[in-house]
Amino acid sequence: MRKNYKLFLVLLVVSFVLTVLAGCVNSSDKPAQETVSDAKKGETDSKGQDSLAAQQEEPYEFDWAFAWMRELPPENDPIKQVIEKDTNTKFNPVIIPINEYAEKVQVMIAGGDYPELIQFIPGMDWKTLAEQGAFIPIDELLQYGPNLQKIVPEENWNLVKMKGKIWGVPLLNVLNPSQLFVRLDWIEELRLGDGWEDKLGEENFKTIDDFYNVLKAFKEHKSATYTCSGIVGLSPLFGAFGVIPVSDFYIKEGNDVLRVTQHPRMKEALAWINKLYKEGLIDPEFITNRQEQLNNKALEGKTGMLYDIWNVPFRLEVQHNIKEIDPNAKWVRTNPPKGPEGHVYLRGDSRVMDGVFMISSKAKDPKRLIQFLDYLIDGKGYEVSQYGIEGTHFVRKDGKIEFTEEGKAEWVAVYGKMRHIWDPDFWYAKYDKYAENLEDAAMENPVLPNVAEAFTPGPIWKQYGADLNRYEQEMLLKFIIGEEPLDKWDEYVKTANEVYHAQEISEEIIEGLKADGRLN
Amino acid sequence: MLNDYAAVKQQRKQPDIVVKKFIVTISKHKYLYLMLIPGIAFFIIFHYVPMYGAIIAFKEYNIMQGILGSPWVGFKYFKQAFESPFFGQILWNTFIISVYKLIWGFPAPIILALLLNEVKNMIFRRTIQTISYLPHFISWVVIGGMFTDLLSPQTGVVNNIIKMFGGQPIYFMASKEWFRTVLVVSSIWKEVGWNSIIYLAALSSIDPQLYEASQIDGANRWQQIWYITLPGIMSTIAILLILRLGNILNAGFEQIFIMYNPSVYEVADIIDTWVYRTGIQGMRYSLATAVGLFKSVVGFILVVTSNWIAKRTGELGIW
Amino acid sequence: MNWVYGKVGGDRVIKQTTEEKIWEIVIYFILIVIAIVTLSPFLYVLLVSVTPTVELSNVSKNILYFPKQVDFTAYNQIFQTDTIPQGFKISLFITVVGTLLSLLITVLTAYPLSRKNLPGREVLLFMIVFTMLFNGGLIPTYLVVKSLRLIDKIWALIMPSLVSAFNLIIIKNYFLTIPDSLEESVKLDGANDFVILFKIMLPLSAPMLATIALFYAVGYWNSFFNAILYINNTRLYPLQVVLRRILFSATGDLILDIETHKASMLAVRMAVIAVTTIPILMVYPFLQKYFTQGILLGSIKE
Repeated sequence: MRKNYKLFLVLLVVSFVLTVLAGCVNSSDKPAQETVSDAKKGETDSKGQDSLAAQQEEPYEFDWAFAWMRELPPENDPIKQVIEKDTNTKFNPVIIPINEYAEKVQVMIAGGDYPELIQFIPGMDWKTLAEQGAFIPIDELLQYGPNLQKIVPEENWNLVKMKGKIWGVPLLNVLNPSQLFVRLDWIEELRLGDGWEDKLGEENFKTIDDFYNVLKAFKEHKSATYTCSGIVGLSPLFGAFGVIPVSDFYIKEGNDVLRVTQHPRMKEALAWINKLYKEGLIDPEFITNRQEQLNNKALEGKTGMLYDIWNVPFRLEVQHNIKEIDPNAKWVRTNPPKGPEGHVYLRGDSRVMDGVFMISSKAKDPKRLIQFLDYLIDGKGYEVSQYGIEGTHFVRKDGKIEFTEEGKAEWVAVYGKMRHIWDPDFWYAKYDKYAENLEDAAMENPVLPNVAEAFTPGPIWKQYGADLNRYEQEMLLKFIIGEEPLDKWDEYVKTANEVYHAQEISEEIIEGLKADGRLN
Repeated sequence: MLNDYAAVKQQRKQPDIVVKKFIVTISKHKYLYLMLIPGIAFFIIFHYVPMYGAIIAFKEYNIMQGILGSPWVGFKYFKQAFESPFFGQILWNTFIISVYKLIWGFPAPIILALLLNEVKNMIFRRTIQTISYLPHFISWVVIGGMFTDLLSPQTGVVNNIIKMFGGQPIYFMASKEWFRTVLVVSSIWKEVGWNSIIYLAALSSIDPQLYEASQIDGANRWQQIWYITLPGIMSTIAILLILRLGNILNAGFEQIFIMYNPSVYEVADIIDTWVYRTGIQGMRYSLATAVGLFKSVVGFILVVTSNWIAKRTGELGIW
Repeated sequence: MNWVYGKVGGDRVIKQTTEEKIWEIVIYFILIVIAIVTLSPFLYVLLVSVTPTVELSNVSKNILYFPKQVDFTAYNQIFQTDTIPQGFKISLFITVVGTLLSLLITVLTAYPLSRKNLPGREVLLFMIVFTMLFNGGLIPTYLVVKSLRLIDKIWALIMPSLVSAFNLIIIKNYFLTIPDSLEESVKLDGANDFVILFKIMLPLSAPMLATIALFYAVGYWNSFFNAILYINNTRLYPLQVVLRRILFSATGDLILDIETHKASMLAVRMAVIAVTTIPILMVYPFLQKYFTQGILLGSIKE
């Protein structure tokens, strides 16, 4: 009996302490919206009474959160100072590595005082947060960003629309991350060049049979295959049929918006690819290949054709190293094959490559942020944030650019988030002869646009979308390697619709696109 | 007499008596209670205070409204998990992979510790021990890559050996039959050394006199292990087993996430990988918390049960 | 029974019959195999970290490929980064201070909970184990840290993980295996609980203490996620965070500066692993001596 009392009392004391502490913390749980915004409103009000000129003399202070994995800039670096001076701001960069980016941003927002300008990387959901009031739409503010309007294409603005409004500033990255490569020396050696020309960039594979014949020759004479990483690495082959092996990918045909993984042409594509796989023309390890395996296979001559998503390491490292192993080896970029109905696509179009900048609903003066971004996207702002300060980081000599030792530091490009484009003057200066390898990154490739890219997820997609995605990936793989015969295609579509709600998801996505103002 | 007794009992329940007794008890063990304060405070502040966050499992988390302000949705996310067409499969995968890892992976460090304990040469023993826990420090990203190369059907060492013996190469990493084995083997490889450390510490506390005495009775090595060594570390084994059972639904997210691919989703997709994929679109919080709560409850039941069993068999439990 | 000072483990004399000798060889052999197998990942890491870029393709053919030319470029790259010393200082601080504090508080909490006659003991233990299974999640914990004003302070890397319930239970149970007779005899001499804990319990628990010290030290040394979450001031970033920046290139950011004299990304990645691991590897052998000198108390009469 006595023991029970003591236990009970211990419990009481403990729970009392708990509640007290919980109470202390709870009061700071809710992002203190009222108090903060009140205080800030107070500021602007009193400021509004000053003259406009005086208002504009105060540098605008704000926190800026973005992703950057490499070397951090030194404290108060000169580039930051130049940017601040030109935009009359004082910004505090909150630099977060990519892998932990989503968690960090989430806790910052949950904590209540979060940066006024936040980058949302692809895959992060800003729409839910925007709906909950964390960010503001920027339609009215765009008037303060003439460069933004001029430079960012309509299609990109489309991707940041929700409920008819524009919500963030898309980051522009027009560099092409992936290419189809082929060993030119083997083509020449095996005399496969029927209709091939010395300079590539022309249409080398006029039909899928051209493509097939090349792979067949590689297999017979070199024991080499087509290799890539994952199902999506087979995109150029799918592209010949006007489809892409990615879930939630939709194309417009006439008045219909169709899900590509259920399209009849997908079945045709799978049939052809399965044929290639059965004949051993495709690397059977494609499903587990990572970058290292691709590099090694290229170096060892196990592959004659390769599709690489992040092609820069491939080119710069492998192309350099392969010279030591096989001096004749020459990997060049080539075009994807053209299919029976004239389709030719390298991959699906992806415009959100670097994400979008969102403006906080608690921003003191959002238009200043738009002006800030406007400065960074073009002209001097662009130059200084990508390449540094003229005179310190690079110099112009006889119309050519030369980087100084300081200018070669990694951190110099840390603030250059707005726009990544092919800039030959600078790139040749910075990367020397390697820049010519990167020039392909600037080339236009035929890409299949996804009308549903960055769609606003609805409740059905949120519940079943990932499961449908998994089912489709599994089934596509089974069809490719022949684990599942293609006469089960109709069954697959049916299962996708009934068990995994593909039909409802498609309808929901299309409705969502219309509501966002992206489909008429 | 009876009345007196009842009166005394009544008296004992008086508040001031209770308080007095409380103070007496505390002061009797005052140093002990004093020692407890920092640790208990830590648990309260950093574990119990944030625990209210678990209610997100029953709410539609709105980050601007905060945890307390978000609307209640009851069991919505639990239902959502149960309604997934893959639910049964992922639950089974989680369970079976965890059980495999338990059956093979739990005894392995014990055996290693016992083997090391049999070694007389200190230098040899310490060297082997240090080497054995090295893989613990290498992340799954690297080990996953190593295994991909090692098990490659075309160039991997393992398959080269198989081919040498005239067999057909096996694509282990993409094989539904072999993938779970790969998971178990690679996880033992990585952790056996590290996990044996605690058993080695326990071993060193066994009284050497016991061994000497058994020597005189003519015991050989194995009898010594069975009758002295094992019982000597049994309490450590028991406690680690109980705590391990609490983690039964954690089958190794990082490892599986790095190593799995569409060929093996069927056998390797576990609760955590499913939550990761499904939660990508913002609602990760409520769903992840709901699933986490489910895992916690299951683990909790197992811990309580196994602790009770342990105590019944005479071992020290957790409490 | 008399308890005597003595070494355990290594000093057992076993009858050396032929059968025993064979078993001994078998055991040694098995252990060597285990050592080779477990050494290979780390050996792989070391070898790749000094493999020049040209020879890298050989690695996939033969996992443990010894480069013809040993190239330390990757290590140079790492140590020439000027954020490394600061990161190292921070990591050293949180590891040393954190481990000591954690040990102290863990032991202070475990000892009372190991005294069977302490009222409320079972409830407290239950509460502690409960926290191993149930937790509130990332955001509430962050809010607690924030309300304690620990954000952007080095203590944010120590406080939230100060006591591990697992380690606590291990030590608590170990205390329970120490015979009561020792405690009682000292109590008769008038010693209070603090004296018992520090003068008797701890010396006898050396192996377990060393073990959980190691566990804590490794935990603190590897801290990374906490740093990203709670720290914004780059000068407070521990070593792991700094090193990770060295080995990553931004996804989607195509601007990589590759010049011939830079080590390949793979070599750098491996060198980073080696650099983070080696210091902690040096701690354990140092602690190992506590494992073999299981000290039992000087003789006590019953």
